[in-house]
Amino acid sequence: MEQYLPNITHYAKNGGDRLEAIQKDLAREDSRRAITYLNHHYHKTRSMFRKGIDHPGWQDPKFWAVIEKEIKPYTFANFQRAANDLYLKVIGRTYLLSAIITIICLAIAYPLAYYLTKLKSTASKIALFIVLIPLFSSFLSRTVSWILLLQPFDLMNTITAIYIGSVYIALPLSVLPIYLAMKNVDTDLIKVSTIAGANKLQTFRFVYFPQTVKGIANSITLTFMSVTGYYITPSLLGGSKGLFVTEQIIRQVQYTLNWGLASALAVIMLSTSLLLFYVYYRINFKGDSNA
Amino acid sequence: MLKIENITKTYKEIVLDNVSFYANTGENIAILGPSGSGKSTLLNCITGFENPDCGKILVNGRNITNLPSNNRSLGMVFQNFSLFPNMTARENIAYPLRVKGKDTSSVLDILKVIGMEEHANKYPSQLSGGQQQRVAIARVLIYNPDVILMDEPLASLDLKLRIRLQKDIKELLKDTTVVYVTHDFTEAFSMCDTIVILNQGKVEQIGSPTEIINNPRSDFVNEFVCETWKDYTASIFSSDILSSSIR
Repeated sequence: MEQYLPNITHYAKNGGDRLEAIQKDLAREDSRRAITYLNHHYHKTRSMFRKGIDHPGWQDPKFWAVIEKEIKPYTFANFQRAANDLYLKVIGRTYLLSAIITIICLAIAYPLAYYLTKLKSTASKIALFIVLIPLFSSFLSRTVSWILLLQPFDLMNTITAIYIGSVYIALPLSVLPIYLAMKNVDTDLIKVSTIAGANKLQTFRFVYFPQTVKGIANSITLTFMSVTGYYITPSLLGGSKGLFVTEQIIRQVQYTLNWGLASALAVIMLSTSLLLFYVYYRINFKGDSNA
Repeated sequence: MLKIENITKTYKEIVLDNVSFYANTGENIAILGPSGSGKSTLLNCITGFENPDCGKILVNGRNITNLPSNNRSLGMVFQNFSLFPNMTARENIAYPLRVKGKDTSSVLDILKVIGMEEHANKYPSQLSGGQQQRVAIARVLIYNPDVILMDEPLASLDLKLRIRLQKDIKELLKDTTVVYVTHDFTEAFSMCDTIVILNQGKVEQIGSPTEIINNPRSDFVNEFVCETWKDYTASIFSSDILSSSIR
């Protein structure tokens, strides 16, 4: 099909000057077939060719997006575009910010989860419920609440605001896996270590911490993967600075209609997430034949 | 020598009521009783994970009642072995020396004693139940504690292995004071010199195994001993030990 399309696009772009030629060529069978095909994807195509250059469809970017897609069905050009300095910087910055947010979450989540496991049953349930409350409200309302809280401190549209909002939203995801790992720590091992003469720090370092490593790996994976996909929080709290790659993807989709580039950026992000998931899988199921 | 003097512990109700007994150096003593008789609480009081309301615990004349758990010179073997899953057999055994900053070269000797040299670099998940239990015992023996506490150390093993390990444990721990906590009279009978029978936090009877069988002081002791013997005989008949010995 694409062999006919360059011809049509040429007509379309220069239609005003060459209307007669267009109408003549449209009588050809292959051109008609091409137009019928395009009409499936952009339903005004047929009438556009019938009415000529005055039809408003020629001004519609969606029509040109269809044309571009059809004449270049498979190409790596978008990946090449995504690999330029601008987007690589954005991707790098996304990972850096996500890593910082994940580390902050981990630094808060580990002691918090430890504290939760030490509470008595009812108190522990209540405290865990409080930690999980953010998950029960919508992403947008949580972020908007932070706008109200941060405005009086002049923190809006700053990187600090992004950190605060993202950490708050991601924290339940960080706490839960660590809490579960800590709940499953065999208390007899702690007793054995203590009776054998180890002090609290040694017991923590050699016995307790290694048993929570899988929980930490789960927490890092979950938090990092979800934070790299944040869009609402950085754009509302950070002032649409385009710090996160998700903001760039939305720009390409909504404003420049460069869906190919948006897809390429999304595929790069998805690949990284899959790579991270693979690392997580290796850590969690190393040597486990049932995995 | 381990001496327990008038230990009392109360939660909502009395769990241990004026418990007293002693075990001489090198003596194996069993604390026996049904579930809820206060065995575990007593063990926790001895190890320091619980504080008794009153009473004293003395080890070789030293009052350890209020000492922290890591400073009581005790060793403990649990029912589920409780080996550190992230350490090999060798590292598990070396652990008590490592945390005290001592030389760990004696680990190889003790691995030979328990016949586990070939398995030194295996993780607990790669060892059988009997091998794990030997490593757990070696981990205690390596630092030569004054008293070794064993909390139903053979309960999770099958009968055949249990009988074999009973001999091994007796041989390995012959010079150490051992407190053996169990609800199984037959195990206590074969491994210990003295048996303390607990019932609802109180000492029902203290005596040698034969003394307890021949002269039970209460209906409870009599019934308890008979019940566990009955279970033991039934398990012997249902296992392949009898059939293999007949063959």
